[in-house]
Amino acid sequence: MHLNTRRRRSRNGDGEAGLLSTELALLMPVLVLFALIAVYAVQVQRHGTRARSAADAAARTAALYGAPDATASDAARNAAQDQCLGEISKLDITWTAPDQIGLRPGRVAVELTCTERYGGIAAMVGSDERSVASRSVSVLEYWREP
Amino acid sequence: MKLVSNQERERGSLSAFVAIVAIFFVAISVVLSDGARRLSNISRAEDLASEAARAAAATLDVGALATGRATIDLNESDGAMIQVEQILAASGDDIDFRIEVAEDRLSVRVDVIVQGTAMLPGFDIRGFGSHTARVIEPAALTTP
Repeated sequence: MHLNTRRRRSRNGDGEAGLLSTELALLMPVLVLFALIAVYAVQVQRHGTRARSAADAAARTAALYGAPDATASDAARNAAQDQCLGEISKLDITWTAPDQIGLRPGRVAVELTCTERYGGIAAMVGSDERSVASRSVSVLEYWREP
Repeated sequence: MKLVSNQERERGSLSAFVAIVAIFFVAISVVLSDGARRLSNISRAEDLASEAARAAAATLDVGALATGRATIDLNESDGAMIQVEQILAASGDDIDFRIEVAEDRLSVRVDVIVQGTAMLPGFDIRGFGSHTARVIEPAALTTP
């Protein structure tokens, strides 16, 4: 099809010979760039989802332990690490104890940073490492034993 | 009357095609991105509504409990509404919410809307989530 078009236009001598090839040649890098941006955007989106899942898992795990100690922090970090494909580079856990007398729930708030490497896209973004921060909160019911 | 050849009529048509394809790709990318953000916001709203409803259902009226009935406390200083506000504030998201306690104060429904700004004008990427939780009487959990 490409050759036919070229031959016909050359025969007609209208000065547009090779225009399709030229425009496609110009368009191809743009299309490739779009494809790379799409891949990168999907990776960013999935990374954000994983960071959020990591924060959710950490908050839920800490809430199940019920008390602010090293065991709970370690368990929360391990739960977060299972969701993040890279490293949990920062993990802050804020505890608000439940009120057993006044029957008010407490909460565990988790703030973390999930740092991952993106393969094959390093040249595009300058660095192949990217960090996403996320927060989550979970309820601490007062009837739950620590 | 001037006769126009086929070649002259089609001049520039390829450039228009390229422009349309480029716009199409950009539009698709923006729609996909906004769609993904909307799904993420919906998921987030559902999670937060669940946590907020649990917090509200765990806020019991001590006075009513003394009479043998566990009901949700609607006290304005530290009642269910305040607990929900605190939970949602700790999430760090831009949120609107609504709390609806049943007349018998045995269950509560929390609606959460996670806000977001779309890249595409007129496209709504806010996420809505709703959850209903029922009061659990603490004594029932300790009684064998």
